[in-house]
Amino acid sequence: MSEALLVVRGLRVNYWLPPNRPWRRALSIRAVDDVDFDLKPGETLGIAGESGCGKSTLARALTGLQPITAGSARLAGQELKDLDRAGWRTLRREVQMVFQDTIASLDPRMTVSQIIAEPLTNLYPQMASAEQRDRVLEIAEQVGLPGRDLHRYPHEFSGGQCQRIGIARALVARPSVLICDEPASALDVSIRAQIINLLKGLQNKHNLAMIFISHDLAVLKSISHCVLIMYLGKVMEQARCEKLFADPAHPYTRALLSAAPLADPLQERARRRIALRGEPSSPTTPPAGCVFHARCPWVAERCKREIPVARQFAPHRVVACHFAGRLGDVPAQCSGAGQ
Amino acid sequence: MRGLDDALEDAVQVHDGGLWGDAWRRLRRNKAAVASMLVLATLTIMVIIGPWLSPYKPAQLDWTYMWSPPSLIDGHLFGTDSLGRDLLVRTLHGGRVSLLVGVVSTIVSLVIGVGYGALAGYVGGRVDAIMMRVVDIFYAMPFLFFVILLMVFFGRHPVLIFVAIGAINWLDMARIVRGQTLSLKHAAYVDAARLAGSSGARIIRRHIVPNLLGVIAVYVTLTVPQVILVESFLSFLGLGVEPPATSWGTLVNEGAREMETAPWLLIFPATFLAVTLFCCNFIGDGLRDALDPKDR
Amino acid sequence: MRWTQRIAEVNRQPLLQVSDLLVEYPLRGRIRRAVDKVSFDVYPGQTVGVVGESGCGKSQTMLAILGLLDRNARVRGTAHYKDHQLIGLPARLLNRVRGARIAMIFQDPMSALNPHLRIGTQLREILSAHTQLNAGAARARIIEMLTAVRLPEPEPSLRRFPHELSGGQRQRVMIAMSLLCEPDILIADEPTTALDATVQADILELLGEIMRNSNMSLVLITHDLGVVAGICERVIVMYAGRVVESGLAETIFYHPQHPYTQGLLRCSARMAWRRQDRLPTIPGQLPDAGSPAAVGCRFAPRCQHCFDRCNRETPELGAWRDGHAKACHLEQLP
Repeated sequence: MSEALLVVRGLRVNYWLPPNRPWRRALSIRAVDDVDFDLKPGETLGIAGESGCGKSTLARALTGLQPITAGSARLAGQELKDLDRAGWRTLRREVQMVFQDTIASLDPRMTVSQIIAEPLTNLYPQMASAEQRDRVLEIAEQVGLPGRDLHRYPHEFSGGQCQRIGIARALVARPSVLICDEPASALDVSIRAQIINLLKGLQNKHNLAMIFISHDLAVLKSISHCVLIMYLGKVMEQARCEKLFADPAHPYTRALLSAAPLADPLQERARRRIALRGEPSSPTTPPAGCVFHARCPWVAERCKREIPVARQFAPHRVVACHFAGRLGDVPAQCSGAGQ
Repeated sequence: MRGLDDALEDAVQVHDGGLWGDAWRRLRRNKAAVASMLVLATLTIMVIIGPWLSPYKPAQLDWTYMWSPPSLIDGHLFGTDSLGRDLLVRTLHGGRVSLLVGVVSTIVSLVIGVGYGALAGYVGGRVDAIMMRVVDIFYAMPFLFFVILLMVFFGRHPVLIFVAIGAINWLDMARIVRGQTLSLKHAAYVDAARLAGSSGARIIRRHIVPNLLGVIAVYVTLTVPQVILVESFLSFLGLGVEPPATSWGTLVNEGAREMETAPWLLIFPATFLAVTLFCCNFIGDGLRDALDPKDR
Repeated sequence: MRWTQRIAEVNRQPLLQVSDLLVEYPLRGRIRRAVDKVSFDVYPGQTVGVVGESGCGKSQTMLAILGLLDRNARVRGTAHYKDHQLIGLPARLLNRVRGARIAMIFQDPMSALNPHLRIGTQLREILSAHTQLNAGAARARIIEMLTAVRLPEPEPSLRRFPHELSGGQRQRVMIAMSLLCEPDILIADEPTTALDATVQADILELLGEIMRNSNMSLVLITHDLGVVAGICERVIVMYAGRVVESGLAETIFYHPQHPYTQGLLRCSARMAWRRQDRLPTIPGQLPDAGSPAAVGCRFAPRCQHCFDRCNRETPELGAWRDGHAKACHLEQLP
């Protein structure tokens, strides 16, 4: 049993929206509210949720792009919350990120080899240029980029190739933790799987600890060891991947699973979808009590008043619901029959 | 509707010497811009070499040929002025001053403006607010008053004029650069650069400024004519270069006074001035078209 | 069952008949073909899914039919709608068809809605352009339509601006806008791609309900086969500007005949994936959007069944067998 590389407890990230009127106070948004998890080398934590759930903010906080408001995040023993710029410069050798918008994350005025080499130039300034060049070529080959294309500019590449460049850049400094923020969402279906296979292969090869963020549960199912489901900054359910998909305990997880479209006409039309009530809540005005109660098909009086604590529901299983495990069938008025 | 061109531009797999090579090719196709570049190049060469080739000196007086209209016979191709000085050589000589003002002042305003604007935009927050308020204060100052003050303290040195004009023009450049920086600073590749360990200074230098160059290039070609006009205005008011040195502005000033009796004194310098301004504008337009599609 | 009833309707006249549609762009001295001789029919009350990845020309096809392409696009071929031939129709006549008889909704409702006008104003504009209703009747119709698309609080929403609504709500407003004049055909271009999963499911269910309650035809453009599986009867699969396979949904999903369709299905059967497996892919890259018209099958470089006829001869869309057609030289897919 290896030691956890990244240990996160009670993580909170708030940010402030400037007020409409100068005399009003800034609106505080609790983008990430009390998140706990452990990440071991060679394992992948999948984070799922819809827009506004805080998953991207979590990624940015773990890489130093957004300050952590409260709680603790320790990477290889180093506390991330109070790191200064010099501290982050050292830590960025260990944690790197792959972005969602493949082309926009590459500077259009730099060649691909310059883009990939940039982390080495900054994080390992003593490295000889010959060694830098070798490392760049090595990682480029590992991601499937031919060496002769490295002098080109990003706009000459397709979306999938740009993502390979992004992955090469993230891995050239040999980090131990890789955070992937929706790396394949912007890509076409037939290319998506290539990138995911590439990430899986690289993870095995380098024993990377990976955090994989996606709104697509099926993708997470194929890559994660553990899955975290978030809604409005809070953890709804957290479990080993197989358990979560076989037997989801939280209403939101069940709704997400039923919303994912199946590429099978008979099954798709026959199944009963769980319809959520109302509209997604705004992060600026979260509901009282359970953040999900306004949309939950199983909502009860208790849910509107009392915030459910994320309890240990089973070994390696955490659910934040008053009625976890006792949900039963979907209430009739909230199921959409198949056509 | 978004045409296919944009998508096709992305997809073309051609090694084309990078972004600048591509922009250069697009610029070459713009006939007005190409023609303007050739005309400007010719003008610059004439202005540099011309005075040496001419048998006349700019300050040379010739009492026999005062007020003479342009003629091929007596060698004064553009005519002479009230003191018998050859207009052609004076125009070319004046061109040196005007073009020099254009280039030097623009460089001054570029260096100060880009540095100031990029810093304000990138740092943001209170520092940005203070820096921009300083710019606003400068805007509120009457420009002429400032120049007169400088003249009074330091005398009418030509270099002073360049600096004075440049020192006023940087305000526009700073504002534009700051605006662009504000939007560039949120680009995904800037985040990626921070993740790669780049310091703020390095990000400004390697990521923001190169991506600003498109906007800067366009703005520069629009600033050059503006600056030449300002110098002409100063000369018109008598605050420009001291005689016998001259500039297009001074020549236009003198020519305007004699417009009814010796129109050639106005027409030739004014034409040179106008042609230069037109060319700069066409090149500016062409650069904007050549660079914009790539500036996302 | 409803499906068999619909198949019987196939014997009637098609509502929209597109033949040999061609869209070309001159670029840097060469001709780029975005849509390469596409033909298909849409029958009344039918839901057709057009599936393909980036650069396959699915959006360009629909935009060409409605005359919404850039001026430098060269469009040829025919698109018969009732008595009109839409390609090349003068704007005056085309405006009577667009929005009123054939409506279109887009992926990003924020850019299709004017951010400076209130919702009510924009909806009224459609009605006043195409109908003679007075103010009171128009308002009643608008509220009726907003209720039908299940927009929460329809009346107060009339006075709201687009940015005050959520993505799902904006898309509902778009659907309401397109239905105001009771069009015969609704073209939906990736209507749910930009939305969250739960909202996407809601919107698709809404579209399905609308289809059940009216005789309108729906053309649903998407890259997601799961979306198509839910509500489409017919499916058209496009690749690199050409139709590679078309047929009934059941046939396409359960008995695909084209290697690309088969590959796409494998890439889409996602819930069956496990962590230990290597995900199925289609090797290689998508062809550039609108590459020059080449001879031979455009999918050949990525096809595992390709043989040398595939590179020499362009496969035509085969004869209609029980409504199923494919463009492939292989007799039978193994």
